[in-house]
Amino acid sequence: MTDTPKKLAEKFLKQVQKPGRYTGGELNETIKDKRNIKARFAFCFPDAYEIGMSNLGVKILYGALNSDKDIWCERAYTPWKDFGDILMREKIPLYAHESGDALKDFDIIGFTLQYEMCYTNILYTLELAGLPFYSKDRGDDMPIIIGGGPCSYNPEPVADFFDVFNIGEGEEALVEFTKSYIKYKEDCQKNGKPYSKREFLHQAAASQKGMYVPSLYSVEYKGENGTISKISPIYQDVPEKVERCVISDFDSSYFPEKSPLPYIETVHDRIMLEVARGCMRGCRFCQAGMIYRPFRYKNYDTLNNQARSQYLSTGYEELSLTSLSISDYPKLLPLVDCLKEWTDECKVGLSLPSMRIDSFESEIMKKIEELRKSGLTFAPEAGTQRMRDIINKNLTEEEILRTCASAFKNGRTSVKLYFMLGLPGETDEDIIGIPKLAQKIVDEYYKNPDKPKGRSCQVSISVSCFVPKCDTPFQWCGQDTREELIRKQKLLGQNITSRRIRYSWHESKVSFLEAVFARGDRRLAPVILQAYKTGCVFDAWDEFFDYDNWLNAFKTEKVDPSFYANRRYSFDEILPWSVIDCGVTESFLRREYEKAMKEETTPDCGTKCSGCGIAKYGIPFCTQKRKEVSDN
Amino acid sequence: MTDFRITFSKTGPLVFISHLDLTHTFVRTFKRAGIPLRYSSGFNPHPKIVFALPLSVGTAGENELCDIGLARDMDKEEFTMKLRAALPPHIEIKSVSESTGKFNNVYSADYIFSAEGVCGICENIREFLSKDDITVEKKTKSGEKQINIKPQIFSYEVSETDGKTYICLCVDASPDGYLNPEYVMKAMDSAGILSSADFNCTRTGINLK
Repeated sequence: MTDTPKKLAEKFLKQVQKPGRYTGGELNETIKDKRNIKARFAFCFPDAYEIGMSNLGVKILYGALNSDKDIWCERAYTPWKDFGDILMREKIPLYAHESGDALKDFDIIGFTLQYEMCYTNILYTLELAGLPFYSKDRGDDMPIIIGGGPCSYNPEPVADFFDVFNIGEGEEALVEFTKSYIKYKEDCQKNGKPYSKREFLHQAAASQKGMYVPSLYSVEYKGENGTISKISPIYQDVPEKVERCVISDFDSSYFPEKSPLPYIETVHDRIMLEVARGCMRGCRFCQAGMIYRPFRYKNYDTLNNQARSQYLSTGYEELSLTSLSISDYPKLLPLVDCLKEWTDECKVGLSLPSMRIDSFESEIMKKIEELRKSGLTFAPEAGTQRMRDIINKNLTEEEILRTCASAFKNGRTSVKLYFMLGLPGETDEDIIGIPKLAQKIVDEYYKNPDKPKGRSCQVSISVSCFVPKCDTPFQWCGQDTREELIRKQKLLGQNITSRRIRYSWHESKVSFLEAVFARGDRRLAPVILQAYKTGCVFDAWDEFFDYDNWLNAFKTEKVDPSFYANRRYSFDEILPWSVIDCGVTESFLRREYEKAMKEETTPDCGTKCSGCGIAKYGIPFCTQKRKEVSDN
Repeated sequence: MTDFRITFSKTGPLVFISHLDLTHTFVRTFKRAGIPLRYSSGFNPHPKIVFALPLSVGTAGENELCDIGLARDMDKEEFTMKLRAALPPHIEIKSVSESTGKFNNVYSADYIFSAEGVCGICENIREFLSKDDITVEKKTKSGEKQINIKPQIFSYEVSETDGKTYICLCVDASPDGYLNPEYVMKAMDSAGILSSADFNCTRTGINLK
């Protein structure tokens, strides 16, 4: 037997940073006997191991695929540049962690697209695997490359690199897709006809919901640099719009009892318990708030059982309750009580990220307080009420101040706040409103008669740049130019009135590229490839990000990035992502946009149904709210 | 409270994890095992897990020593059984004994360096190691220093079997005189005797006074 690529690579591990990234062999990894397997799936996270191992989606899908006896799902990550260079030099093909076998010998390779800045990593990973970049250049003897995750709601910039995308929630869809692949292959064998990847993908696109095969759609443009004139399927049996997959019974949906436990430190070394999916708030800039609709949650005894089995199989010291807005979980107190019955004794800390500022009920705060005095972080997103109404944050200044005051009373001395610059409809006054609000919070601290003696407070404001995202009410809005964003960042800084306020801001270069890809179309693929070929990789990492290289790539490919990032898309234009049906209707998004411009807010789904279109999935939470509306 | 001292091995992929990562791995193992650890008091309590001697990344360990502080008395058999059942792959418990105090009596450590397909260099290595002066450049806080490490090499043995070269070293591991054996390998590397990258390292034992 010849050595696996993993074995061949072993002797080079001593030469690289963090070799523990490449060894596999973790507790709870799934090992199956190759001889009994009908399809081998490599789930690839296109970034460093420490990031990928922290991703809850990967854990769920890895477990879901492996729960089928015919499928063996393994993990792969983009090797850090030092190790990747060695693999390239030594001509060792990139391998999956469990078996150590080359990725190119798998049936299916899945990439999760979590952020736009990982696109060059996909190309790097493909090259290391020894596979051609473009779907059209990969033959029937090569794996099917499937994509998924939040960026696949506008997959167009990378569409030509992929064979297929799974739109929406994958825990059922990916298993079904892989099973139909097995069936197709078996049928071919039975009937003595050759396997055709294209035929299989066509079949899948026509018969399975949520399967977008880019090569089965033609895109036409109004002239070389114009907008899209037509997107159409090239076969009649392929749907015009690809409908997103949604898990209807979330409470009983698959959740792993155990997941591979990394030996080395990763970004999130803790149990992640998915309490709820979707968000009922409807902030107008927020893509997650739209594409994960409707709001669904699990019963607290389900959650308690899942948390318990995760603890028994990992031994993690921290348990994080995950959702887009944890305070919207209707039974948060009973859940926390129920968990604390064993977590205290086992010395497991509870953490509740993404608490809404208006929900810091003291009862919950106190319970969490006992465990760890971690920093208090809120996201008001905007500095003035007018601006918060435009984005539908549904949060008043009074609520913000009251929460901070109560945090100070509880003995905290620092608060961190997240804001965005460049939101639609923003004026200079709204920008100055950010440091003004921070100052009011500082004042709130000094108003507290019981403040700790000799200690000052710190209010940190972290300001990012607004990136218009597809499937949001702001999807038509152009991003401010970099010059304008830099001016705004300076203006904000000049208006800081206290040394107690610490100000940090995001580099607008990254946000600009994110905007290009978030609203881009298929003409961007050559740009990404050109950028990659001239050295761009790990773009989400400061030490690698090379903006000038990116600009050169746009120039070489004669593509104007501002056409995508800064241009206002017109309402009657065919949007690049219009081939994807995320569940929320375009008319709802348009309505929300118009309300935003009138500074009107929309109540959350728990209060009143806003008719976003997601009710068609017939999920109880929605149907009930719809009924309430029609009853009144 | 009776604390236990475990002797364990760490091999395979675990060779590539750091000392801190190993500590986390053990804490999680004890939690899975349901063995209650004693935590230090203070603002940020941490469990009482103390290793005799940290192991460098890239080095396997055959008989590593670690003291475990327990929150309540436990039967040794029960402790061993529960711990073994919860171990991750590539860690093995060789033995468990009662802990007899702190690890302030570490004296020396034994290492084996082995290289596959490397032959005919034994004589050169022996000759080199028999010298009275083996000076290496050591990076210290106050800059680089020339130091003779020969006094810290307590014994050595060099052999070749089946196309494999073995270098066994026993070096100083005391708190004041600790020597990282890689310095010995590097010295031979720069003297042109061998290529240190060819060698895998295993620590076979930690000797207490």
